[in-house]
Amino acid sequence: MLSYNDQDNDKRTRKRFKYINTVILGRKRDPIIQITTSEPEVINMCKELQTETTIARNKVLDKIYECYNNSNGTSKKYNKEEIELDPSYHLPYLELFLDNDFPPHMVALDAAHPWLVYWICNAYRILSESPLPPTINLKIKNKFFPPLLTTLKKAGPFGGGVNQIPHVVANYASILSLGLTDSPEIWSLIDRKAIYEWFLKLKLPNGSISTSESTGEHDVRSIYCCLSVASLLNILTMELVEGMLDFLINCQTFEGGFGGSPGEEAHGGTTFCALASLVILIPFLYPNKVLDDFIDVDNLLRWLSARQPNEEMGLNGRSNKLVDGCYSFWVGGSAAILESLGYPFVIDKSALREYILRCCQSTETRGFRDKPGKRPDFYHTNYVLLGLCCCDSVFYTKDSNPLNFVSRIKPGNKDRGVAAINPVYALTCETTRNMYEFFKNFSN
Amino acid sequence: MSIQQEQYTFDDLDLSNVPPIQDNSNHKLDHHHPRELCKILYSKDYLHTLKIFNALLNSNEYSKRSLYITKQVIQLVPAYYTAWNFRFHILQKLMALSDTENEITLDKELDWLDEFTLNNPKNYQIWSYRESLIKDTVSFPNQHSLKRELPIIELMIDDDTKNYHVWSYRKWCVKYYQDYTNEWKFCDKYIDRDVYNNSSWCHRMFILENMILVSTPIDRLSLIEKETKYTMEKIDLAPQNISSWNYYRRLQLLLLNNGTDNHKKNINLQNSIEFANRFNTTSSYALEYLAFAYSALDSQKYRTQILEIYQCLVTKYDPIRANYWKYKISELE
Ligand SMILES: [Zn+2]
Repeated sequence: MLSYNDQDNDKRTRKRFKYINTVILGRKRDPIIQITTSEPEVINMCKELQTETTIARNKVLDKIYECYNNSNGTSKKYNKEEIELDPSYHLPYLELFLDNDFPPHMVALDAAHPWLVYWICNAYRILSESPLPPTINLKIKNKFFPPLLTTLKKAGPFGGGVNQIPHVVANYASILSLGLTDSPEIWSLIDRKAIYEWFLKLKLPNGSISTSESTGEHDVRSIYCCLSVASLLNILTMELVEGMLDFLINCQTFEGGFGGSPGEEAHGGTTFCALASLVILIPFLYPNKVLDDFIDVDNLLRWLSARQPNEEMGLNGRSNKLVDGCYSFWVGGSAAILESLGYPFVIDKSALREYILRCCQSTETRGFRDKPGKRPDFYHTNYVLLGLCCCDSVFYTKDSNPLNFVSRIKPGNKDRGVAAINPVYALTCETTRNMYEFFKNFSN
Repeated sequence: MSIQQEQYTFDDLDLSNVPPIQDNSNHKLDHHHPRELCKILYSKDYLHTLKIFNALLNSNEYSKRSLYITKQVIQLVPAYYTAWNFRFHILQKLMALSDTENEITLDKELDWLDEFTLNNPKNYQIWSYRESLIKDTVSFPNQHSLKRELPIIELMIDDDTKNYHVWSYRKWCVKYYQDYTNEWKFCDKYIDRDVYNNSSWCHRMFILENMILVSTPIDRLSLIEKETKYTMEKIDLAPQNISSWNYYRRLQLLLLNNGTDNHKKNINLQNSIEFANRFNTTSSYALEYLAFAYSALDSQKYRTQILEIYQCLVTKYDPIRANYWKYKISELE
């Protein structure tokens, strides 16, 4: 099964090597090594053993090179023509599903209704560069507060659909969806007290929180979904967060990223959840302390930057795993959170933007996808777009309160259809700030 | 072997005593209300199953027929967590009844779950459900062991060697049953199969760190040294491998933190530098390690070397991470 550079592999190695040289380094000849060894020789960082990992990666790389080299189907060279996001191409994909029912096979997502609403409406909000129109706001309101009830009552916590038990992750997607309406009238219908008391019932002795009563997951994802909602609704208390900080700290691995639970492999999604949670928790618990006091930020920066290989230019979610567009946000958003706090942005924004624009969209189907060869879906459309916002923005803050993090679209940015986002909440800065201003007046 | 706990079919169900449920899914909207957002056009089959399921759920009926319905829903929509949750509660209640005739047992449930898992490899509700079952429904503490769990885990990882949920579940089991004896061999198997499989390297570190906790200082050092030798062989095999280098780096940190003899520590670092230097033309991770080891040794004394390495990474070997390398350079100033 294992064989050293066979012919095919060798050819590919040379191809990739040439690609790095000409495209990334802009070199015409192969460079010469100059490190401590005595004899200069040609760089060969690509010598590899052929295994399942390299075979899968090389397959993906072939498709990626096609996207980079040959965008218009004629030239063999890297397409140096500039590329820009065209929102009018993708908007009909979202509009179609804002106006129509889903086909029966989508029943697989029947426990994820709030996610569908959030993914579609958030992507629409970003691409259309304006607040959601009143017609969509009304639809969102009716989805979570069914008009069947003659007198509209407060509601929450939320589950994945009608007659489903409340679920921390579904509740998170619900609150974000309601947040997207930017409507204080709708926000006042959220039953903060019921959500808070329900959270308390789900707390576990190890500091984490269960997604639902009796069964469910308990990891950094459930913690993030709880903390994000609690800070947006202004229901954070010492009692609610007790034990969470230690749990999160213990999830940082030797690689530098965070796993879902202590001892687990570092992963892009769980790293985002853990980092965003810490950024919510630390200013609440210790206003005078910083991230560096609790975790190894240097190792985290190292791990985040290692998610971006020179060849793909897009991001992967774990060491030696395949590139995937959604990590543009899980990993890119983590880098953005750190940039907000004054650390360098350790992802190459323009390279990631190239991956997003050349590999995550195609002329065949509207919407964004994981990688070439895959079909677009709502999940990837939303997170790839949020990732593009990270590429096109600079992040900063004057305030340790994550609700007040700000970003600004970079001067000279060519893309239309991107928004200034708050990376901690995966919403626009505008919505996050509005929610903060609205809910800060409520007492606990 | 019958793995059916519930032998019902729809026709057997007497639904005359099932209370009706208020059906919210078809809002009686007047014409001024817009259509429901993200409404799924359900199949007849699904609507029918869900109607019965909701009725039984809302009446808190913990019966065998309820158990049967949960299975139907789960088979149609594996991510339907409410059905998993209801199923869990039903099982808890029925198992407590200890009806010897038609016994509902954890074993039978796990058998069914095994089969369902094999057919739904991507579903992850399965694993937390399984965890709850083992934790909360075992009436006799010694009734189950890690042995019951190992085959399904191995089958699943054989099929998808980097499946995050399965590796996590394995860690949970190992911790829960406090049995680490199978793990080294398990890691070896997957690293032998694919030296780039980061999940198996991370599992190896999880095992090692646990071993370190329970070992004497002397055993600890020899364990780390043994692992160092193992990792060096794997790096030799495939030098440009982030997984083995991260593991190696961690081992060297453990050596630094566990020894007391400063002289010995320096020798270890020097040796590791000599080792990493062998790959300074074949692995950017070796270069990164070199910079790390020089810094650990004496960042002032080796400043030139460290700077040179980062410069090379910026300009030649790993330019896409330039922002990070430049940050490392700025730390030297
Ligand atoms: Zn993805």
